[in-house]
Amino acid sequence: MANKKIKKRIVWGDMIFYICTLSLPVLFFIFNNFVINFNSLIMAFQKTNLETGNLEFAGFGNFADVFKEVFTSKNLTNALWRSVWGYLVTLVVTTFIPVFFCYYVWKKMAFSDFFKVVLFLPTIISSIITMTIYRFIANRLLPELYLDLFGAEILGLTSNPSTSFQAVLFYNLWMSMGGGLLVTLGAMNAVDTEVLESGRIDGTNTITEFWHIVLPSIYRIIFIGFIAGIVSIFTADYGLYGFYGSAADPETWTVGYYFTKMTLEATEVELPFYAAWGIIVSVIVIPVTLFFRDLIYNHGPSED
Amino acid sequence: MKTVRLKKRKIKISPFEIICFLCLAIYALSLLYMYFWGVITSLKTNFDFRHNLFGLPQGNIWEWQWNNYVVAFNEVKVQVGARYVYLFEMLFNSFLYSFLGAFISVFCTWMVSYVCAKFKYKFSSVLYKAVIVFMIVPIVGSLPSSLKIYRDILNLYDNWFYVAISSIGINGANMMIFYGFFLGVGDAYAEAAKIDGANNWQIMLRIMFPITGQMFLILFINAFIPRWNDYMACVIWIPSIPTLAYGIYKFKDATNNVANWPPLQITACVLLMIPMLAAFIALKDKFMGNIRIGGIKG
Repeated sequence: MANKKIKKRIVWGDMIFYICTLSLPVLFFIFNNFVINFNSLIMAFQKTNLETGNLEFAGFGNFADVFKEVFTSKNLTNALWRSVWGYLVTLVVTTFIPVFFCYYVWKKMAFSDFFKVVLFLPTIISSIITMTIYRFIANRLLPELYLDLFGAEILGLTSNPSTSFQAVLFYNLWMSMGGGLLVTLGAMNAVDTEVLESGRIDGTNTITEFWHIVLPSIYRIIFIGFIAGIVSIFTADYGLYGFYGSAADPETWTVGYYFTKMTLEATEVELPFYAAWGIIVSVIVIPVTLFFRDLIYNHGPSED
Repeated sequence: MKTVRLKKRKIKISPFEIICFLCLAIYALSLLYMYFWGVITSLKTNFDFRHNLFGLPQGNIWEWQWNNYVVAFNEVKVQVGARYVYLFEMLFNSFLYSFLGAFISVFCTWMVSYVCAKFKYKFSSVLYKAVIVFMIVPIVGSLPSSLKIYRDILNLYDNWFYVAISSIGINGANMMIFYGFFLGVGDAYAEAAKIDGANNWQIMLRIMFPITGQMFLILFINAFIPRWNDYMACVIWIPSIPTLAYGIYKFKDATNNVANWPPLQITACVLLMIPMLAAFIALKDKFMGNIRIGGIKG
């Protein structure tokens, strides 16, 4: 009887502790993930009556407006293509090249510690600093260099609308080479040493070890970038806000930049339109992301 | 007489290694040159900058424009309403914003992970799965809704409450790391402490927290760095609490006579670089601690 009482008291003590510790984080988790997204859904179906100032049910009006905007606004259509192109270039360059860099560092080849620190620098130094310095290099240093070498004048690369997006994209690629360095190194550290050892006995060289043992062990980590990147088609501004604030030339816009800029400049009346935009993008992105995630996680390669 | 024969070790260098080395070397040099160019440009006069873009500042080292740092210190300012916020206040804002946000976020996740791993109620597994699902499912475009709720309904826009409250929550990736670790920690410590009379709070804070101290610090630093470097949060949420990164964001487009001198703008950038670089040098191993889902190595 006494034992039962003690047990009951301990369980209740645990329960009170459990509730106390979880309540606040769970409340905000629910708020940030459920309440805000549910409100987004509600907003997407609302419209402000300009005469009364009240919010009214708008059916699919906002969604129709979004599609109309996508098909009629040349800026947005171009921004969409630019985003897709940016995603593909970023995917190829920043997904695969850093893996070779990480492998080099992981194998502790010559100067690997030095390279590890340098690759990590863009992570710790604010992008607004590198953007500012890069802007001067692209607009002052390179045209000067071009003039010295070829005797012809060119406009600053980020200030000339015809080269600005390429220049901004190049900046992103340049700064992203060390991206995911620590996570990829962590994944490489988890490669089974017995497999590596038996590979060495079988006479694997650096390339075959990389291709047949290391790559299959870490491909999930590599493809996280690919999966996350699908969202970036609609969200990434490639640092355009940092370079130009809200005044970027429409020739440079990406969808992510367009959405952020327009939302921040929107009045309360216009917010439901952008909420509908968010819902449409989520509806496109969620199944595509989950499909590729399933494909990569369940049907990927394995160590030979 | 003994003769010592030195064996000649044959070092094999593969073409793969050479190509990787060359690519890395070119990349590293290009990156370091950018920072180096920034530092030397920060020590030039405006005239020197226009006529000597590539070289070192003119004159002897003590004749370089060290004064740029003093001027930048006084000129990097952001107008908030009727007053100006100067560099020291921005430094304080940056530190508080980064520390508060990172600590609250990592601590909440740490606490939830511990409780979910050690208290096997049904809700624990439901919560863990929900956090993972929300981490995987890419819901985008909630900015209009967030603006509406935080700014128009809760009136939490542009104040410190927003910084604290928006940091409370559960970070999916961090939870996977902490949760995996706590599952691997046996119950022996907690049971021994319970026999000695410790309650759940004491077990959590006095026994489990020190065990995960190293991991907590690495994840805290990982949360601190992006906050320190972030300028968009100020643009969107807290424009009246300018941080250093936001200060540079504003300063680089400033149009008044002194502030639009390129060397001065670059000096401001170098000033912003210093605190993080100093912290990195002091805590390099913590900054670059290897992270894996389920634990931390090294």
